[in-house]
Amino acid sequence: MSSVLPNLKKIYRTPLSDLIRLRLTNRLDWRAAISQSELPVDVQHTITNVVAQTGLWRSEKASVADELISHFKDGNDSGLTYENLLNTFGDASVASRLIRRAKQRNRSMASKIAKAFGWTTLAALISIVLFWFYFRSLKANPTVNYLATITESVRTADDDDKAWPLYRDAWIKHRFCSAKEQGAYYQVLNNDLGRTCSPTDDKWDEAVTWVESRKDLLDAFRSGADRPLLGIELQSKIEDYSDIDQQALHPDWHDRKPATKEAPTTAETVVGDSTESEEFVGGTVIGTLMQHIQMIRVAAQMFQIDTQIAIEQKDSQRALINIQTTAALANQITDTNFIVTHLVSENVAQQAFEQIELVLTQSPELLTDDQLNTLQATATKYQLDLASGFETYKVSIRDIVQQIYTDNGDGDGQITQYGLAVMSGLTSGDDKKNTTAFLYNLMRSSRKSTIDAIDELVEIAKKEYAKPKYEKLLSEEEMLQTVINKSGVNQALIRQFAPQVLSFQSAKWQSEARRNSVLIAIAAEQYRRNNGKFPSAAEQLKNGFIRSFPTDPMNGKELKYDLHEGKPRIYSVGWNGDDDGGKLIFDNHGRPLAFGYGSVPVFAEGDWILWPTPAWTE
Amino acid sequence: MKLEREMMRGAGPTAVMHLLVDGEMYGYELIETLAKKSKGIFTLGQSTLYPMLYNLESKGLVASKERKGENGRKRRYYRLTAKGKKKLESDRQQWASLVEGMGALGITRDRSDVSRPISDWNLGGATA
Repeated sequence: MSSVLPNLKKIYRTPLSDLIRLRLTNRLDWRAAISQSELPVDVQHTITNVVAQTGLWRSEKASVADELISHFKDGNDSGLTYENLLNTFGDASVASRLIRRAKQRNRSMASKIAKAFGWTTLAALISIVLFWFYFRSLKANPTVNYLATITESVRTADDDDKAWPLYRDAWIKHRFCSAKEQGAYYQVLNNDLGRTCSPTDDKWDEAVTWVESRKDLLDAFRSGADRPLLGIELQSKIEDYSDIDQQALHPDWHDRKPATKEAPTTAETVVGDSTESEEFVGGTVIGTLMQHIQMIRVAAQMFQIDTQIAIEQKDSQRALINIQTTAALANQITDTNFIVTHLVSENVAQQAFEQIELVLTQSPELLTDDQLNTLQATATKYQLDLASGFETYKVSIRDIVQQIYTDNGDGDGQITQYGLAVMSGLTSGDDKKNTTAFLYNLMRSSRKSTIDAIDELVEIAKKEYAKPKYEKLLSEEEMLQTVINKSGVNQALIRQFAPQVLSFQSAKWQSEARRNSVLIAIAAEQYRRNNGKFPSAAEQLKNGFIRSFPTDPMNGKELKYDLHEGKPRIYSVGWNGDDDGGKLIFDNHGRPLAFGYGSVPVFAEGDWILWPTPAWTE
Repeated sequence: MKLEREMMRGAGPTAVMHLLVDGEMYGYELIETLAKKSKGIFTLGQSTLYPMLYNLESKGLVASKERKGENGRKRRYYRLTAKGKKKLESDRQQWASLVEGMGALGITRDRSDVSRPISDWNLGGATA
């Protein structure tokens, strides 16, 4: 070790040109050169001072030192004393300064560029550090409880309009929302194809037993069917629910010991893959806890099974009430106007329509004429109102913005470090691949410009949503580009929260088409009861059985009606807009489709059979 | 008589370049020769000479090379470059014009005049 160190020093003090020739010359050790010069100590001291103060590179110092050493020696050789030479040397510090300047001027262009680059880099680093400290100091200051504004209509509604108090006890008794029960429901109520069990399924008997053992749960739903609102005061944190609502909606969490009640576990399942994003959604509008809407869907499946039982037992009143209750649930869950509740509502309504189909196709005589009219009124009443969910959507985005941006009091501000962490956690896909660009995009947009851009995007989305399929529609990318080009704000944030208009449009068209097919089928049944046979063409229904024949969302013309094997068949012309004579179309898994938007290749041949629902087989 | 610093700053580089016309020289040799040839008027201290040489080198007017002298001592020798020669020629003309102008003003005169009373100097018509 002791021999290694001097050699390392020698390497350090040897010019590169010598090292390349494998010579350890130690030439750059200018202090050694001075001390070995045999000059008087005070002369050595002066030279050392001058050289040291120049602050030049090691090689430059060595050169200056050598020159000064030889200078003093030459002067002495010519007869002058060292004292004399020192007296005429001049000011050492001035000499150092002048030598430094002159030597620096003498440096190569490359070294000057390197120096400028070094200083620039240093300045940039300092700026970044300063900016980082400044950025860390930015804090959001959320002041508006947007969830409260969304749920205000529910909170202030008359208690008699709320169905939830009538449902709640049964939910608690059956632990309807517990994870264990939820898993069991999905297992028992669905067949192998993922559809609600029917008598042809092996699991049918088990499903029937299951539903009948929960008769009081179904009765609770039936008792609240005439109430317009569900009436749950939604929260984004479990602990904010009342104790009784916790028991009903989060029984697992409620039954935990107090010490184990940590942050809401639901946040982890909503969105996000960073600690910040998980914590974030737990306290925001987008983190609003809505497990109950899944259970309403389960309830709709239970009613479908119970309606099948009612048909077998020829219990028309029970079948009718089941359908009405299912339709009521579809309406009730939209009381807080979230887009997701409208989407689930549409799904629940489909279960109601399916029950109508079961009754009319399996037991056409089951319902009385009055009951059939009631059914018609129920189906007519349901209309997917996803457009109103866009306003709640805007509010949700405002809530996110207020939690990740600072607030200057005038509605403007800039994104915080916490906000960036949240957005990084929430984002995925292409944005995730280029984190730097993603963060840059976020940081260059102010709070106000972000809100304005999102508002504008939502307005465009609303207009697009309202259009029928056969009109020229903007793609989601075109909508985004319209706003991004106009506002110049962060693409990342807008892309993150852009409404998925295409899937909303799909839900709307599907809902309209299916509901309209049900209305036509009911009218056809009414015609049959009056005329002894089904109408052979749509024209026959227009004479007193249906006010205006419903249109096909795919082409704006009337839905197709004909008799197939003696029974009414109603279909949409599908993607290609052409009447293919009721030819079935299949999805990517080879299953026949009632409505195939998004599931089949664009412009695929064939029609979408809306009534009767094509049977699925393995 | 020694030149003041500002005067030296203007005249020094030209004087140094002039000395190098005849061949390369090292630092102390320049100081010694300059003082000798200028009869003590150009007396450069080391703190002036070496920065001046480095400046001339940075401008490409002189070039240097380190080698051992006759007595075996390692020295840095300076020589005039082609660019330096051109610059020297230009400086000479300017100095000639300056001396001529100064002479015309009566500021510079024959050194023999210096021993006479200033009232006898030819000051270009001005009366003492």
